[in-house]
Amino acid sequence: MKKISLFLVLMSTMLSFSQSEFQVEVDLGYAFQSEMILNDESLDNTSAFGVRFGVNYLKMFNDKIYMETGLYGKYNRGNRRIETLEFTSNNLKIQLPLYVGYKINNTWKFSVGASIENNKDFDNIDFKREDNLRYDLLTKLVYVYNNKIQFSFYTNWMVNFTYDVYTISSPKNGLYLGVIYQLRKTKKTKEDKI
Amino acid sequence: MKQLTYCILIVGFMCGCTNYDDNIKLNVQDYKTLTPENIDTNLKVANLILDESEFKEMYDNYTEDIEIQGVLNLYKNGVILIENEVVEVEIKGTFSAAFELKSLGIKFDDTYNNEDRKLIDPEILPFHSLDRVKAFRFRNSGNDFENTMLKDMSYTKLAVNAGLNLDLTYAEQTVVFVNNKFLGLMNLRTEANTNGMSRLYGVSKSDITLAKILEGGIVEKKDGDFDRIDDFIAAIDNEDYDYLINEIDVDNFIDYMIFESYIGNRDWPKNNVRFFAVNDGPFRFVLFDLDLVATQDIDSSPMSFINNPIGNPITDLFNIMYANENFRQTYDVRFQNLINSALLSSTRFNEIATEYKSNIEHIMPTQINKYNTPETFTEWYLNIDHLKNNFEARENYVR
Repeated sequence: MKKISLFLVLMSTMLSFSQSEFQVEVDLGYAFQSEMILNDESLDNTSAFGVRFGVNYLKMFNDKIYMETGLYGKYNRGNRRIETLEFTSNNLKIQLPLYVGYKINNTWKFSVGASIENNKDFDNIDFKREDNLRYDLLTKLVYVYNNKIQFSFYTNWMVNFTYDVYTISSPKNGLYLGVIYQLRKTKKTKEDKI
Repeated sequence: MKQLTYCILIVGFMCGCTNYDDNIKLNVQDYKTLTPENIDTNLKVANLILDESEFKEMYDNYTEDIEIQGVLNLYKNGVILIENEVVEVEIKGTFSAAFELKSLGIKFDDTYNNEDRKLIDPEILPFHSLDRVKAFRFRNSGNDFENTMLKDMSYTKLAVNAGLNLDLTYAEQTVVFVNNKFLGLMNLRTEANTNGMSRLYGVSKSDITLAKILEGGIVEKKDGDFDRIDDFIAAIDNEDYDYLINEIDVDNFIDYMIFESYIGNRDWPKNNVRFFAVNDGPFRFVLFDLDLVATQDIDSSPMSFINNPIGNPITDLFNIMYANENFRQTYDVRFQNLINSALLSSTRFNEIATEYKSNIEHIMPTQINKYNTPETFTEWYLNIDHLKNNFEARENYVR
């Protein structure tokens, strides 16, 4: 898993193609997982409200294929109940996604990718442990409304094993609808850069 | 490259946070109005009667060796078990003494007769005795104070249930009051020192030779025949197998090394080692202080725990013994038998941790209200699940 995170980080910092785009994105949605156990009790409610907010950086390979990375904050709020306790969790995590996208036409784009995300709060990080990070498979469908505004349907699916103590406040999977605002487009060639 | 990954994410980590808002469905007792008489619990309740100003001075100056005298009363379900027993009280612990709730060492004026098991009544190993107790402590669960309040006890009970050939401390969960005011939920625990070992074997303190290995592998001679301790350490330095095989209780040493390395105690053996002998008997090793077990390097082999990078006599002793074919064979067979049995399984560990959790579940909200650690009842439950998960992860790795 460390190799995956390294690959994602390196790829997200080494993009150098001709056209680039900066965007900001806000998504609202629903996070969930099939089963959640706390205190040896199976929880009835395993879902959470979610907000993602962050910036995207896109680089075009050619007219159709592009790569996209970004930096996101991911907030989840959920309510859970066991026999002795009802509690509300509020959770903010940082996510680093990397996608490969395909521009279907001038209106629709689709991308798949992966992300790394902190699995623990900073004060619980132990660099000798393997469970500091979580890894998700991502999909993103984008509808281009106009030059400035796009709408997205984003999903995440956690792929690594982790105990429920980490996902109880940030469930494994998510479905989000979002708005993307195009900040700027630049057109550069490699020759320009040299 | 690993560092690069972490550097990039570190800013993000610093922003990440989780919090929980509790709505507890239990009857939460207010610690400010709680007394030994009105507390609703099946646990033992201790009430120490101490001079308020002396206690405050001792508590505030916990790094100094201040000992005060007082009286102990112990109740269970409103029935008095021990009445007005004169005791000496002092603060115990090193790092854990900095916590707001501090461990208290309790020493009886005379050795306490516990034949009726009124003071402490845990399940014990058949070769131990708790009939007499000279000293014990109300322990704040050490470095686990901020997490579960039951970690050390759970690991110790696992060893006892497995019937390992170990010397250890015994504990019972207890609610402690000082001058009728709620001090906190603590673990009434026997001692791992000369007093503790002499009582376990029903011998006089003067019959015990005991040494410690402190942080960094430094040997500290505590009591008894110091020349014998010196000779023992010299034999380790000289790799004198023939001397050492006769100086240690081999079965005890094997179980001790297997258990500590199986559970993954990173604060050992360069620290937290005590070995002792009764008169001319062989040296035995004491299992204690398991607060930092399975917190780091869960995916490391038992041998890597034994071969701690910080040099220490126990690692050296083990390597001398393990180089011998007979010892190695005995060790490996015992290791496989124990690991493959259900005795040290996560199933068994979970049962123990769940039992201890259930015992204190009703009093933890009160404890959290007073000490704000862990910050919420939810986090306490999560910490216990985390404790179980770590054991399971360790078990899966070792097996």
